[in-house]
Amino acid sequence: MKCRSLLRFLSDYVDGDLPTATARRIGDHNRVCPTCRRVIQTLKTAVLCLKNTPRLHAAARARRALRRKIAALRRPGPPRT
Amino acid sequence: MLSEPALIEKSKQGDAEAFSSLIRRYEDKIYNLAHHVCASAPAEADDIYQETFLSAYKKIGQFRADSQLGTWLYRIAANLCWMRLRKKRREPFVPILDLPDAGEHRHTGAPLDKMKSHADDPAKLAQKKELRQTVERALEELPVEYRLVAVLSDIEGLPNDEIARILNLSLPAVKSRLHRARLFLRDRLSPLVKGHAS
Ligand SMILES: [Zn+2]
Repeated sequence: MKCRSLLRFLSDYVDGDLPTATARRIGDHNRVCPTCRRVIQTLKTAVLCLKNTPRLHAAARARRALRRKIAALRRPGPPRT
Repeated sequence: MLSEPALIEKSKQGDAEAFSSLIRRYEDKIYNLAHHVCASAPAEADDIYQETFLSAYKKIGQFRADSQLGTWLYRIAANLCWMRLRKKRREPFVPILDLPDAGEHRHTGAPLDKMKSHADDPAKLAQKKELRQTVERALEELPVEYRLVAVLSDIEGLPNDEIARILNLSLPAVKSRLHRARLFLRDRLSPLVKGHAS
């Protein structure tokens, strides 16, 4: 397997989303190719950074403002029974 | 506590209380998406968070019971992000789809593995922070259609088939955008990794 032909598989590779045979070929190539090993390591780090991004929570002020707007909206619905 | 379908039914009848219960279930997800896609414009992100639920409340009558409410809300939010950001692209995006040059080859140590095993070391923590900030900045450089896929996949943790439904794309299109986005982020990260390896 050539380095360049490996490139298009990398995203699926780090997701573990490749057919076993293809994943094994990439794994075999990595053992002998420091360049690709490094590329995959950096790619994994990039994905890991995203996955570890701290989750944000809507501030209380934003939550209250949204509730007020919803209450003020009085969406015309079917008549209440 | 009422089930989600029951809350949706009541919301369709104009029950704001029921709709507020639905908001509670999804607002952190929508807030998170808006703020990561519009990281450089927090005020816009706040608007998108509010606008998503206001728009959903107005359109809840059109919501079909056979789809997922979360998917539907993400779709509204993603559309709002896209409409606000599509005009803001500063420069054309050139996805990095090539291998790094030879300079990157020389450092074949395992600084990242070491980094993980020394999580309490201040220098390693600083490096971790630097990596994360670099990825955050690189994410902002991506065009919104790529950024949406990266955020939905790798920050929100959604499967590709759900992202396809949210963005109304084919599965191969989602994978292709994710691939390009990730390679771009990887490219931005590589000088940093190289620097720390030497
Ligand atoms: Zn190689």
